[in-house]
Amino acid sequence: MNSAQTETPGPSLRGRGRARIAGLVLALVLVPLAGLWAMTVGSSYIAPATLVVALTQPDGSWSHIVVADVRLPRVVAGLLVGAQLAVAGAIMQAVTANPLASPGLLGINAGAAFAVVLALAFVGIDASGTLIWFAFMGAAVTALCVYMLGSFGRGGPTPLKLALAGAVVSAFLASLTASLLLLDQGTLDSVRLWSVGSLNGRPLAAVVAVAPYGLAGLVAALLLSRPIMTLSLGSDLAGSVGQNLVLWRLVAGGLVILMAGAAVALAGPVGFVGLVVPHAARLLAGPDYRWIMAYSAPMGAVLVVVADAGLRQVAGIDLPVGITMALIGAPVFILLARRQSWSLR
Amino acid sequence: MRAKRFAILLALVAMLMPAAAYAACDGRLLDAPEVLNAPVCIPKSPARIVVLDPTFSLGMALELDLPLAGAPLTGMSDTALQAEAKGRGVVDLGNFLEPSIERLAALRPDLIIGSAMAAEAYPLLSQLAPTVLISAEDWKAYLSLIARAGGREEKAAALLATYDARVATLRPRIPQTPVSIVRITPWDFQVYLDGPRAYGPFAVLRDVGVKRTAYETTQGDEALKRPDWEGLAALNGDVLLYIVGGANNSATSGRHEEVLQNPLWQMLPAVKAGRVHRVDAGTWMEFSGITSANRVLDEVERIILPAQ
Repeated sequence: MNSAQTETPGPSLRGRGRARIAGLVLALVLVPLAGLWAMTVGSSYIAPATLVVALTQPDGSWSHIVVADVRLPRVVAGLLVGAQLAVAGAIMQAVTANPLASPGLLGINAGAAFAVVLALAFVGIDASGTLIWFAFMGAAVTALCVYMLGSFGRGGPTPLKLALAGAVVSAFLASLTASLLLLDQGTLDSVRLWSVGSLNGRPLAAVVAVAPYGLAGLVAALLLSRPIMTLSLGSDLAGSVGQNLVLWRLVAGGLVILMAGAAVALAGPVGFVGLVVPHAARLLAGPDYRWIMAYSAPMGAVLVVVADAGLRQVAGIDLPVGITMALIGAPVFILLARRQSWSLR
Repeated sequence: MRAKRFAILLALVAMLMPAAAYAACDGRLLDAPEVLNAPVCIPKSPARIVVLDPTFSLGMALELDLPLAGAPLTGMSDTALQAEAKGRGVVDLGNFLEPSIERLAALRPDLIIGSAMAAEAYPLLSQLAPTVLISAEDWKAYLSLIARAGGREEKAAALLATYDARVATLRPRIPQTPVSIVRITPWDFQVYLDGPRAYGPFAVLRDVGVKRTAYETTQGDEALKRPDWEGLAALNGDVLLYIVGGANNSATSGRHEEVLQNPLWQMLPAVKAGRVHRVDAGTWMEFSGITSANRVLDEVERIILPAQ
């Protein structure tokens, strides 16, 4: 794309703008549809009509409780986790100018896993409602440590130093986690299921408790998409338009921690969403990160919910969504990587 | 050419190996399809036996009065069996998931008995002493094999006959109303099925004719189901037994209360009718032979008989 075109949008670009808006509206419409469809999937049959009544006028009957207490939290958690991870991934890719960046790069998954193992092994907590706060705290503290570690030296937190710090801290925490697990076999059993990422059995109270953090992160990210887009242009260009690089990198990092931390607290580590969805969004919406982030939110939400419910619907197997996402995500990622050139700046 | 000749030689040696075992064995040969690497040459009357698990092998060896030198006794839920083993001077080898090989070797056993779960350790164990690893899932078959390994076939037959007699007197009195049983773990629900491959306590219920719900009964190979919260409704028996705690911390972590307070649990017919009973994890999840079987029958008399 040459600069003359960006300064004076021609008719073709205006048409592209309209198509982008239409695509976004379509993606947003798909979110409630996917959510409602996923609510019909479960180990017992509940008629769609009952579904609507259960949500609008619950009467405390068995099927209404199943809808409200079992299926609704799972779907809401899926929507939130998907949207949060996708937008967090988009921010990571924008800020680090690294198309392979994902929220996990800041050590968020490793930190959450370590905190959960600590809680299980030493505090003896594994009621799902309490564990989420350990995961959240672990994710946040680890990401902050990575950020601080990556900020030392000249130039502040450059993408390269952040990536290195993230890798180092992740490896360190993973080895601590592994050694704790080796010492405590009972904890291993509980962690084994947590560590693959699952939406099953999350109480509504837990979802409601974590949702505000993730939602706040989502709203803030979309409101601040302009400065984040500027960051994606690289430090030279962003600096030359007068952006406070240190401040906005910090804000972007904070948003990633908020969203990915809330997601890992709810579902455990779910991979590939933060990697694949921003790429897919870029294919549809072009290189502008404001649009990529806007597209990523509904696309991530739909992807996770459909992946989680789809396998149960088609095969009747209740696999943790972390595994399903890896099964879907890996081939899709290879496909995207082959189609797209890597020159993103 | 030379390599080929060597390979042929190796193959010949491999073919002759079992024959060599027959020829070289100066004790007894234990040969059964459910014994790993059978036939195994074992002493005529073993005097220092070590078992590798604190469930089937430990319980049954004690019931058969085998000369037991060591067993992993750490982390057991069946504290009665643990106390009995310690009382009989059985040396603790540590946790059954990782028994201490050093302590095992120091006991200088002349026979090692365990389940096929220890198959990975066979090459090491078989250097220390003749090793009998049993893959039988059926607890009575397991008991018979331990009896054969220890030379106590008559004792086992007598124990099983007493058990069969108790089952026979109890069986006509069992109500035909279905019973549901669920295990609450920290992360899911587990339903051990009534079927050809039923696990110990559930095989005892099958023997005595306790009827389970359709969801909990199978004719196939399945032994375990994991219902989710909505699938729990299938446990609609007139009586509900549940297992919590034991090897995991579901009894102390808040999970127990979380489940019992959930409306989907409280809507189960047996819970609504007040016919819900917690049963001991030691008996039901660490089943260890005749004593455990009798404890299960005690529970049947205590809970299921009066429920009709």
